[in-house]
Amino acid sequence: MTKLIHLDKEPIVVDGKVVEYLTPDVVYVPFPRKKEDLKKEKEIKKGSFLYPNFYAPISGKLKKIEDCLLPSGKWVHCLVYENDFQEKQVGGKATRKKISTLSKEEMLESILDTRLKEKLERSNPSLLLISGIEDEPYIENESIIGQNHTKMLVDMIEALLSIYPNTKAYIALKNTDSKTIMAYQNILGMYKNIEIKFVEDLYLIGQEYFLTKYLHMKEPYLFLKVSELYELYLNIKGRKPLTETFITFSGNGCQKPIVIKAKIGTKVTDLFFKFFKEDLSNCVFFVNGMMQGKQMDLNYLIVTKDLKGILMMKKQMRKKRECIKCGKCILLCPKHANPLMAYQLNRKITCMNCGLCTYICPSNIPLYQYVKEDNE
Amino acid sequence: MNRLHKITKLSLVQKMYLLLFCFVLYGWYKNAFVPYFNHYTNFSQLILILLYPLCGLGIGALFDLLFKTTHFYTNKFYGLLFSLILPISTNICYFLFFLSLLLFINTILISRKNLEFNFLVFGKLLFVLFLFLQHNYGYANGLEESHMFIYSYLDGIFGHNVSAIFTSNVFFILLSFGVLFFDSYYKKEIPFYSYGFYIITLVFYAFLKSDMNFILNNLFSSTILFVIVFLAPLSCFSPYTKKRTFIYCILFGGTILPFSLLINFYEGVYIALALSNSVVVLLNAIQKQMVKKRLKE
Repeated sequence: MTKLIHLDKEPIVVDGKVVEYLTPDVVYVPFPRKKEDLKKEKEIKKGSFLYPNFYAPISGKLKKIEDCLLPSGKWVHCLVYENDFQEKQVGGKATRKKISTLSKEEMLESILDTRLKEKLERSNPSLLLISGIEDEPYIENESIIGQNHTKMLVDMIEALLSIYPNTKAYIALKNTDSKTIMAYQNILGMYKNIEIKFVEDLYLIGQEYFLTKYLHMKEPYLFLKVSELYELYLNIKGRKPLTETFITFSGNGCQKPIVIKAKIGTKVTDLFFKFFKEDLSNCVFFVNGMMQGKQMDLNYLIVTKDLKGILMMKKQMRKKRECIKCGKCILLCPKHANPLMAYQLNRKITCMNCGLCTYICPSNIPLYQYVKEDNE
Repeated sequence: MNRLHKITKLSLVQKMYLLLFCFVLYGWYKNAFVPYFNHYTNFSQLILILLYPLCGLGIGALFDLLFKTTHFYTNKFYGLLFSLILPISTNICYFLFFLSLLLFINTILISRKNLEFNFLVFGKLLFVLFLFLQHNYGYANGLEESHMFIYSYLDGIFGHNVSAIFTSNVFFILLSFGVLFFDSYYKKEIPFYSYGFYIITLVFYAFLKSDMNFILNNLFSSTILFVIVFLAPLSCFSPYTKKRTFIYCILFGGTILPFSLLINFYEGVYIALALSNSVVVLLNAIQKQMVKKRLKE
């Protein structure tokens, strides 16, 4: 296994309480990937199906079409819906009282995210592995969800254990994340099949491949992130789609780092003007973290399910120097790629875009420019 | 744009500057102060000897300024390093001319074309050849030439031995390795492997000729250790993959003794390094061509 490293971090503490912003004036619904899925509904109700994996976050009327920026850096056309603040809902199915008695079929039926549904459908695990680890430095979504919704998450794990007989569950947490550990430990006494597994504070340890290797897992397992578990809970227990997401606003340019719960489709600048008053002219913004994310202008950025966090970092330009061929980028690459060769030949290589090569480079070469993600 | 969270510490080059400064001080003490104190040299030597590193730094800085170098290892650093490894008989004018020429070649050719030739080693060898042809070749200072003092092995380790101007202190070299070892950008495996292979060749030699005096002298030779610790692992001129590092170390460590026996102990290690460096440059070029071909296909 590739040797994972501990990242140098500044001591930035994110407030444990989630702040909510659930009443945006307008929401932006990005056009779906497939054109045939696009339905230009003139009026939407909260939770109504718009296209696969996208449900209306508010109730309101279509106002216009505008171009917006996604966290991946792509520009898309968006349907702009004006919020009527009435939160009219579709369906009206009542919240389930108990989910641990549901059958697998009933559960699968309730899951709205196709990827999650497939994951649960296909697996026949003897172990549930729940990752409460956030790899990106300064982004704390997974642990904050864990701290604020512990009972909910544990109930969901219990329900999943009931549909996969003779299974046990591990919740993997960083051994430095004391608040989250305490939150789970306060509750787990009653659940005998659920255990906490402590892992070191290493970068990428939260990823399925590295975590399972670290824990020496050999039995068939089902890997879920805490945020996925939260979505499952909403789908199964609440019978409603995920229309809100958690976003960490943090960084050394941010006076009070917080996690905001916001409607999907909200403009990021709306959140900014609501919660931050600091002078941001000396800051640069990294969307989804500094390791795997991108530096972006926030003006047209909208909240999507993929948006994990915005980092406000003080401008501190480092001079790019010539490559000294130290080979650290090759040594650290979890995919055993050769970013140095890519840089020398000015070609792109395929990798997982972990950002380690750029992080470790002593010459400050932006090596991330020479790599592309597997799924790009 | 850079990833801004990387917390800056003392860089490898800054550490090296600090360590090399210790060598300069000791070199001044050994080659100027002690001989002057014992009346083997005149007062001007006390100042003249410091001109080498100062000129090295100065010319390097001038080149950096003129050509706006954006290298991690600057010409200033190379200038200083080159001034430390010369024979004591070096004429300052020749030194200035040669250093300027070398730094010019480095700036114009090696850095820009991204070549990996260790120009300091090749330059040193050429310079020594030049001095040899000028009949001006010698590593011993006035005091050492007089043979008035007999040094023990311990004296040798603490710097009282015949070596390049500022590289005689084995204790400082080992201390430097201890400091550099903990820097993540220092290629620590190169000194380890190279010295390991060098010891293996020494053991073989010991079987052939049981000359303990020779073996002890060479095991802790400051010239060899300085090259192993400072010159061989210089990132720009050393390999970056595990396999090539191993080849480089085998070649370098394994050929120090043969070249030393064949030529002499002060230059053998540089020839060994020049050879291994050339092989790695060749291997890198082959790999680059292969990758290019594969990409075209």
